[in-house]
Amino acid sequence: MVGYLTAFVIAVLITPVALYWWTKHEEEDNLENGSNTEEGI
Amino acid sequence: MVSFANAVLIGIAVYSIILLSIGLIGRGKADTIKGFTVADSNIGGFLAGFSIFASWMSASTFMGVPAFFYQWGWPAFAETVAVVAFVPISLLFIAKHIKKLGDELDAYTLPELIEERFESKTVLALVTIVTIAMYLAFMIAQLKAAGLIFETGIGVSYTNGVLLGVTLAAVYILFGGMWASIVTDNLQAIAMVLTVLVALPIILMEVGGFGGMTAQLAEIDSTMVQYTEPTFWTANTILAQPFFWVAYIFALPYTMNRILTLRGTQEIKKFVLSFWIGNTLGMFWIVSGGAARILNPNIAADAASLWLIKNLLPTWIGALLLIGIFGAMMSSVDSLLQAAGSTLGNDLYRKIFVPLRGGDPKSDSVDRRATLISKVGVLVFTIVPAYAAIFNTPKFLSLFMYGATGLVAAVLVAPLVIGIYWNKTTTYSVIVAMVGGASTYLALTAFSDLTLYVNVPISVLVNAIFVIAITQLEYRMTEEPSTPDALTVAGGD
Repeated sequence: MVGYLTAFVIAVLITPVALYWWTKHEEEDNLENGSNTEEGI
Repeated sequence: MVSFANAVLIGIAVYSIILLSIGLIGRGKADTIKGFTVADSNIGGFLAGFSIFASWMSASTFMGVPAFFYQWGWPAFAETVAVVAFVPISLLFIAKHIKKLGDELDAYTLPELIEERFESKTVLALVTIVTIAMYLAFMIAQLKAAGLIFETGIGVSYTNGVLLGVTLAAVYILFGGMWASIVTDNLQAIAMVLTVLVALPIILMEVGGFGGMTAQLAEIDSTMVQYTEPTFWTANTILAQPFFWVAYIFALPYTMNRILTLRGTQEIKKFVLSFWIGNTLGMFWIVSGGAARILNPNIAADAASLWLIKNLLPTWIGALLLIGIFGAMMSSVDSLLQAAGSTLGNDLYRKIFVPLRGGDPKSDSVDRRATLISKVGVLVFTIVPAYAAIFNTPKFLSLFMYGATGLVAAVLVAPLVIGIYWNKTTTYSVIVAMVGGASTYLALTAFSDLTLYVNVPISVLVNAIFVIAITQLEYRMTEEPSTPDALTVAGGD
């Protein structure tokens, strides 16, 4: 039970970490492309 | 004092009035095939995310998945861990590509997207056939849930319960198309989240929390508290979970169609975030099955969570939560009906039948007729599965659904993902791979002892190998491989 609940907590955290990474990555892309918003006005 | 049955009846009446009102408000939004199918591609990220979550969390999550825990205990929790870990992140990485490709190709549904990508009616026909088979199986499973909900909730017969659920869903989807489907999905998402947050603590306290529940399950059967068990949740089945679920999410056209409704790719983060919240809460509901097993070992596994809600909670809260599960069933049924209608009107009629007869698929008259056929399709997809749910009820509603989705995964997932990232992918390789993937899945299902969780990833892998190998062969052996015109938004070579 403890093992499964620990695995669940780790599983829950994967998406926020990925979203954080995604946002950083997107900001870097936008800076490189000379665009200052994610919509790229 | 209001009885449980009356409280449920009043609740369902209020709920139905709200749904039908939304259907009526959305009526003007379903006059064109684009309105019916993708809500004019103008839906925000949060709305679409909760909508996918509500369609994805069907009666399967609220009744079928706790049934696994009821039957097998903690080993079934591997499914929850895999779904929570891998499904939202898979959506994050592929949604952007699907949305961009959909916009570029002006595709309204996932089968259409695949067809436009590979410029082949054969590809579309293959996808459409397996998709229709899957929709029928899904409807049967959801309608079994409807029958059980009404049987437990208001004491009508199982048959009348099935008929009542399907009538309500068909009526309001006919009025609203995708817009009504998305708005009502969101109301249902709220009801589902409340179900987990309110009911689960009460249910777990009844059996002494996680520790108390685990100790009592161990007394029933020691395999219920281990990581694997010998009959179904074997080591193979558990290791296959991540691969199965990543394939599964991309095999659901009605879920993928939601991505095409997004206003733009900038909505994807909000979309994934809202899906993640709902998905995490919904999947944790599985543990309620363990409490049901301890408190009443003599009920049908699929009805375990309904029994808990009726017997452990105060009347009005229980009734409200039963309606939450009813909402979960309804949101999937309406999404299914909506997608099934679109498959007939948009994919079969507008994209295959009209061009075959030399007509213009974009003309106004074809658009009107496609919309009409979509609506007639909704009726067909109502009557046939209702008949099957009543006369041929599956034992585990979730496994029945997963089995049917497995076939779609075996056909669709590898060409979709490889086709998005690899421009060279040839049409011929995709056609052979689709047939190869489907044959592998059907053969494994018929002749092997492996569970469907293992069969699906193997079939997807076989399909992928076919796509890559035949594409490479074509490039080596022919002067003109059957690669469609290069796409600007897809991946590299």
